[in-house]
Parts: sequence; structure tokens; C-alpha cells
Amino acid sequence: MKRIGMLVLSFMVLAMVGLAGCSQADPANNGKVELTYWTLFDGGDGDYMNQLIQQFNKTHPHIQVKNVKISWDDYYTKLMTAVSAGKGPDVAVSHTSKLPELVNQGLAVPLDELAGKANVNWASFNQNILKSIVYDGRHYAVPIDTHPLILYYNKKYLKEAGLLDGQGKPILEPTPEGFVKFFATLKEKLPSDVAPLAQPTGGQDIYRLWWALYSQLGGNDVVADDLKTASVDKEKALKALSFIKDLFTNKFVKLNDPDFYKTFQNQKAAVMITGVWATGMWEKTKGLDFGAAPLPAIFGKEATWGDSHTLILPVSQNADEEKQVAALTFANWVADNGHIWAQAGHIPSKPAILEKPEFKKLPYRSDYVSVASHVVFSKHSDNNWSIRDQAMIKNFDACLQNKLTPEQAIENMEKTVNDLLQK
Amino acid sequence: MNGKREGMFAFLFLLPFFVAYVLFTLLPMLKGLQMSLYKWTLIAKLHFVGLDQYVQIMRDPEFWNALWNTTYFVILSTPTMIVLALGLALVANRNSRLKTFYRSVFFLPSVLSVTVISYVGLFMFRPYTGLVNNVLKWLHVLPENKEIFWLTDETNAWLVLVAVTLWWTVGINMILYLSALQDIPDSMYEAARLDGATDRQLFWYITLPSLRPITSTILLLQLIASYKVFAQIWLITKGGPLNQTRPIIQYIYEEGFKNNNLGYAAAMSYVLFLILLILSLIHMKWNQRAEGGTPA
Amino acid sequence: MKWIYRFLSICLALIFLVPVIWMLAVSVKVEGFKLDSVFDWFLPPYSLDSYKKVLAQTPLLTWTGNSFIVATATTALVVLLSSMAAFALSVLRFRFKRLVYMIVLAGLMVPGEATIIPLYQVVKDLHLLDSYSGLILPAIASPFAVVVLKSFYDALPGELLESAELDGAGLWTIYSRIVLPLTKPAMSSIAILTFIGSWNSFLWPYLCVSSSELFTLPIGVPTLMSGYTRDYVIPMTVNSLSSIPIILLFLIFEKQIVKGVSLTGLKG
Repeated sequence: MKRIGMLVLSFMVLAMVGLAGCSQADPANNGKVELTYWTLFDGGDGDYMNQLIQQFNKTHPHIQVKNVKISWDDYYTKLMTAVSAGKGPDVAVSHTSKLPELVNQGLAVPLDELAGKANVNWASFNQNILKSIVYDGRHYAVPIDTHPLILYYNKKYLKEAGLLDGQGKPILEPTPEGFVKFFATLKEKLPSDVAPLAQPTGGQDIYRLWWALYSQLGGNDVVADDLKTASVDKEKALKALSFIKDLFTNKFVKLNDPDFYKTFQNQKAAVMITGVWATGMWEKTKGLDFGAAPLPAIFGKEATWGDSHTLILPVSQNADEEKQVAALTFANWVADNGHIWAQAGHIPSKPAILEKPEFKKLPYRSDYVSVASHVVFSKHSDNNWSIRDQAMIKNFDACLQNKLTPEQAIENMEKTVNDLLQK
Repeated sequence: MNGKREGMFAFLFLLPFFVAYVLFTLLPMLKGLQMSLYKWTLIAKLHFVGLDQYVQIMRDPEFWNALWNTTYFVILSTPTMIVLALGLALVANRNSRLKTFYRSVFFLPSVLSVTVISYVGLFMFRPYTGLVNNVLKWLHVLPENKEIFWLTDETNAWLVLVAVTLWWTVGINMILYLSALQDIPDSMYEAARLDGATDRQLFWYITLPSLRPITSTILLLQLIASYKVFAQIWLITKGGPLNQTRPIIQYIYEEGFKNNNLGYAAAMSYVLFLILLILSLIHMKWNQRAEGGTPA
Repeated sequence: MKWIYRFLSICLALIFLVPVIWMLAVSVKVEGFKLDSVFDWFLPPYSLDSYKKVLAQTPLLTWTGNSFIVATATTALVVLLSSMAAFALSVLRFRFKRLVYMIVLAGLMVPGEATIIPLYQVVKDLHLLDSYSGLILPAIASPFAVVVLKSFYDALPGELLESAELDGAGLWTIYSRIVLPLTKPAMSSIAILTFIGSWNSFLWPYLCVSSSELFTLPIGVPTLMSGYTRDYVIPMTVNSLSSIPIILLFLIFEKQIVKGVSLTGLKG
């Protein structure tokens, strides 16, 4: 029994040691600045980000960046809780659409004073992207890319259906009827186990497609400019949603596909609409002969959904300027080396990179870089994500599952947007 | 030994437990009350709002929806759990060479972690490529070109969640029944048999009545455990489709941590706490009446 | 009649086993295998490549280690703290004993899930978030364990303790040399239940920990499952690897576990 007592005691000691262990300060770092960097990148994105970090660490011997990967689902929750518990990273990824919440919660450091010391030149960024990170005239993030929604197609199948032109581009009349006809032809000409369009039945990607079509129709976000009430252009919203729903009722899409990426990758679909981040993945897929194109402007205006990855400096009580400058230097360096990041598929945030030979020799990207200026970013509302999840995705999903008519879905959406803004 | 020294000793023996108990059980109770009266985010305590959040809860359709979902899960899973646990215990209690085998097999899933059982369930019930649909097609229950969408249809999703939960946790209740079965003295059966009772009569007149106390215990534990359901639903359906399987704990979690609204989440927790408290008290009263004595 | 019954029993057992067998079988398949019939899930060719891949590329072993550290430390502390408290409440005489016991009993009515939000705030205020201590300490005061152990201590024959006292044994000696050894089965039941509970605990670690070096298995595994284009093989390998230690423990300690569960009932 005595031995068990000892055992128990030693565990208590162990627990206490753990307690001490977690409050220990950073070890001596012989003049090196060590930066903790939080990311949410998976798969191809993750590989290229690691490559960037490695190169940076090699070329900047006095700064050491350590990547901490957090899963997508929990990323922002963990970021907020960690920062508020004083355990936040030195530099972190944020989507521009999430930035308003982080800025308004006081979680992101304004960068203007530090920018000079880290040689950040705001003028060198794509101005459409840059606009999305300015709040009250102050810069809160370094954008490293934009990742719009585009269209991927399987050349083999398009050719089989006679829908591929001499340059390997899809033959598609950019009108609603032309778009539907395109898929109808695919459905008719292709084997029955190949879906004309790979898409999930709901979720983020449907929301993105809706946003793109709604913007093409001339819709301008779902919140008013004062960010206090909903401003849904209902007629356009309804038109976009009904159009998407018809793609499902016409059976162009494999219903409730659990993994639509896999469907396209395994060549069980002719077309797929998703973000540019898939390019890197398709390139590495053996035997997949694919093409990438901007989402056709079927409703007239060139516009699409897109977001942008940015790097922010989370606040901390004992902010150390040396660290902050180092972090900003890193962020700027990542933006300057957008051609590496572009390998994953993203469009670099600095136009100068588009002229670099390293970028030019990458295939596919040039087919869609023009889209960067057509991305319609969401307004600077704190509620962007809750509006997206609770007002849009939830009601769109219900519509695709036939629980709501498109009319009801749009009604509900407007109501929920108002509720959320007034909460 | 004098009383003073013994008192001192008792104090020292109780101290470690009570430090932890106060810090991590009693203090959170009070803190929760405070938080529920404030607008409170992950970052900071904002302003005092009094009982506003409780009023808001009463009018929040999502809250009632989540509470109903949890209750629905309780209604679906509790009776099936009890019947299945008893059935399995009867199987494992038969005198056969496979006795321990059955017991192990039925109990094995209980030691697996919720993550494992959830992902196994999730992948098994996938459409197109999942095991379940494949097996149904192989048995020709499901035509080759049809799919059952287990997780995107509300009724099916509940079926999956209840089935996975039963599979995962029934083992523990089976063990409880098993030990209760073994506590029934053989002499009772022998005496009844001498009186010419059939197997069926033995079951209805001896086995079942003897199991009444343990059934009542299992019932309460099961009710409370089911009201706290979260992880497997979170991992399998994320509360979907369309929040139709979202339990109350998930709503509390999402409101607190995803929507950055800890105050409201704390207020909802208090409402949940109240419900669970009432359940326990009802059970205590019921037990008292049944046993005519003090609660165990 | 008898063989129908036997057949049904076997079927039931199969239904219980199939998911586990399926998990293990898929985990040793080759990534991207073709599925032409149901049997392809289970038949060769097998390969351990996915195991190598998962072990080399993910922190699964670290997480397994964390789960063991957290579960072991929690179990040890629960047993120690609750046996001490139960000893005081059962054997010793002191003022306000009844009141103190009532406070412990009240704890049985507080479901952990209902206080998880304020618990998070309390642990944050104590600066224990994202640490082993934050994972372990909130679970170490178990009123349930105190109540169960007290009932066992109450059942010890009073003469035994009195005679020890007359022999001049100190209270510590009575506790460690008489009470603890005599109630070993009860304590191992508590230990087993606490261990399984801690091993499977999901919500609290999920809220408490943000660094992946501190993840326990239940919260680490989902981070390997998200993302697009996942085959069945890798997820099932992750599942199998994270279950194998506990399945082995179960097979070794099955008797004790079953006894433990039936002795003390399950914990909510």
C-alpha cells in the first residue's frame, strides 16, 4: 500500500511539474527572434506554406518562424481564446472576411507604425484586395493572396461532349440558358456514372456560388452600408438561388455527394466549381487532364466570390517591438514570394509577382489571374461569418433539401440577417 | 487520541479534495450565475444586462429547438437502451461456452473513444461508398442505382446517432444487468421450477421483478447522460441536417465559443442545469417511494 | 428453438464486432483500393504503409502519450483525494461533519456539462488553459468517488478500527495500513471508471487546449479527419492506432473492468 501511496504522490508531483512547465518563459534564444505562427492550411496549401517558412528561416538567420497548424473548424475560436488568455501567436493567418470581427474585438494590431520599420509598401498590393484590410484608414493585415471561386473542367469529358474548343477552353455561351445547355449536353453525352457537375448539396461551396451569381446580377452584399440592417436585393437573391436549385433538379449534380473533390479527382465529374486552391491538388493528380477558367459571367457582370488570406499580428500584453517588426517582415516576405504560394493555386496579392518568370511558368494560373480584380469581398461587418453560416448556408441548405422553397429561404435569410445584426 | 487532533486530521484529509471541489465545481456554479447576468465574450466581461439573457432564451426558437432535439434523443435512446441492455445481458448470462466471449464483445465498444466510434459510424454510413449501403445493395435490400442518405435526412440521421450511441454505450448497462441477474438466487428458480413453472413464467415472474431496482437506476443514469449528449452528434452530423439534430450542449458551445457570446451560453447552461436537477429530484422521490426508505 | 436462439446471439455479436473489424481491416488496405464487392473491404492485399505514414507524419503517438499522462494523473489524484475525504467523512469525528457531507452530496447533482462555460472562465482566470494542469485538475474532485468510497468504508467492521486505535496506531496508519488495503476492490473500480472516463473525455479538453502538443487522442484525431479528399484508409488507420492501446488494456484487464463497472455502476 505504501508503494501505491508513493506512486500517487509522484503523480501529484508530476502534475505540479506540468503546471510549472507550462508557465515557463521562452528559453534563451541567443539573439534570435522566435516567432510562433498560426495557420489553418491543409494538404497542398500546408505544404507550400511550410516551404515558404523554411525558405524564410534559411534566408533570415536572425528570425525563426515556427508553424502551428490548427484545424480549420476550430481555428478562429482557438485564436480568440488563446489571444485573450495571453497565449496567442506572434503572427497568424486571417481571412479578410473574418478580419472585421478580430479588429473590432481588438485582437489585431494596427500595422501602420510598424510598416515603415519592416519596409512594407502598401502601394505594391492589388488595390481591390488591399481595400479589404483597411479600417478607419488604418491597415490591419498583410494580404498574401486572393482565392476566388472559379470553374475547373475535365478536358477529356468536355472533348467527348464536343464542348472543348481548339485552345482547350470550354465552349459555353455566358448566359443562364447557355450555362444550363452546357450541362445538359454533358449529361446527354457522357456515361451515366459521370456527373456533369461536382458540387456538394449545400454548405460553403453553394454559398460561394450563390454569392458569385448574386454579385453578377448586381447584388451588393446582404448588409447595408451602415452595417446595422439587412439590405438584401431579394429579386436578385431569389434568381441566383433558384438558378442553383435548378442545377440540382435537372440532376446535373450527384446528390448529397460526401466528397465532391474526390468525385472530380477520380474523374467521375466533368466540371466542378470551387476555389482556386484546388489547382495545386489537381496538378498532382495523375492522369487528370483538367483546365481552369473564370466563372463565366452568365448574368452579365464579371464578378465572383472570393476571400483572401492575410497575416495579422495578434495583440499581446507584453508586446515586444522587435518581435512585431520581425513578424511583419515575415508577413511582407510571404506576400513578396507569392509565386511560391501561387503553386497551391492562389492568386498573389502583389501585381508585380504576376510578371515574375517563376510565376509565369506556372500553368493554369494565368487563365484566372484576371479574376483578382472581380472578386466581390464582403463588407466590414463583424457578423460576416455568422451571417454566412446562419442566414445563408442554413437556409440555402434547407432549400436544396426541399424543406424550403427558394422564396422562403430568401425571406428567412433576410430575417436572420436582421436578427444577427441586432443581437 | 483527543478530538481536537482528530478534527485537525479530518481537516487535512478533506482539504485537498475540497480545494479542487471548490475551485472547479462550486466556484464555476457561482461564476456561471454572474456570467449569465452579463454580456460576456471570450475576450472580456462587457456590461451588466440583468435577466435579459434569460428572457431572450425564452424567446429563442433555436434554444427550444435544441432542447427538443436533446429531449427527442432521450426519448429515442433510453427505452431502446434498456431493452437492448437487458437482451444482451440475457444472452451473456446463458450457460454456454461462449459466455465470456459475448460479454467481451458487447462491452468492447464501451472502451473506445467517442472520436473513434463517431468516425467509424460516419464512414460506415456514407452514401455511395460506405459499408452500410454497400451491404444493403449486396443483400439486394437496396437497388443498385439507389442510395440511402443517412446523414442528410433528419429521420435517418437520428437513426444513425441512436444506433451508434447504443452500440457504444450499451455494454456498461449490460454489465449492470448481468450482475443483477447473477444476484438472483438460484434457489428462487429451483423452487419455482418444482412448482412446475415454465421458462417463460420464470422470466416474467422472477427475473423481471428482481431487476426492477437496477432498471430504475439505469433509467436515471441514462436520462441524465442522454441529456448531456454532445460529442458523437458533433462529430457525426455537426447537428445537421439544418440543426435538426443539434443538441442543447452543442448550441451552448457554439453560442459561447463560435459566436463569442459566453454570457448567453452561461445562461443557457443554467436552464439546462435546472432541468437536470429536476430530473434527479424526481428520481430521488420516486426511489424513496419505491423503497419506502431513504435514498441510497 | 435452441439453435435459432444461438444463431440470433451469434448475429448480435457479429453486429457488435463488425464495425471494429471493418475499422481494422480497412486500416491495412492500400490507399485508393478498388471496391467491387462488399468483401473487398475485408480481403487482401493488405499493407502497413498507412500505419507508417500516420506514425511518421502525425503526432498521434504524442497524443496517445498525453492521453495516458492525463488519464493516469487524473485517476491517481481522484483515488487519492476521494479516499482521503471519504476516510475523514466515514471514520473521523469532527464538527459539521453532516454539513460537509451534504455539500459533497450536492455535487452529485451538478453535471459537469452544465458548468463547462464558467469552468472555462475560471480556468482561464487561473491561467491554466492550454496546460496539463488545466486538463487534469478540474476532474480530480469527484463527489461520486467520495460517496462510493465512503459507503465502502462505512461497511468496514468498527471493531477493527477501534482495536487498531487501542493498539496505538495513528490515524495515518489506520488509513494507509487498514482502510486502504481492505477496500482495494472498491478503489480499483473507481480507478478503472475514472481512467476510462478521462481517456474518452472530449468536451473539456476540446475547450481547454489549443496547442497540438497537448492534444489528447479524442481531440487530436478529428484534426486529422478534416479537409477534402480523404480516403477511407488513413482515417481508419488513425482510428485503429488510437484504439489499439485501450483495446489491449481491455483484453488484459477485462475481468477487473467488468467487476469495476458492476460494483459501482456507471458514472454519468
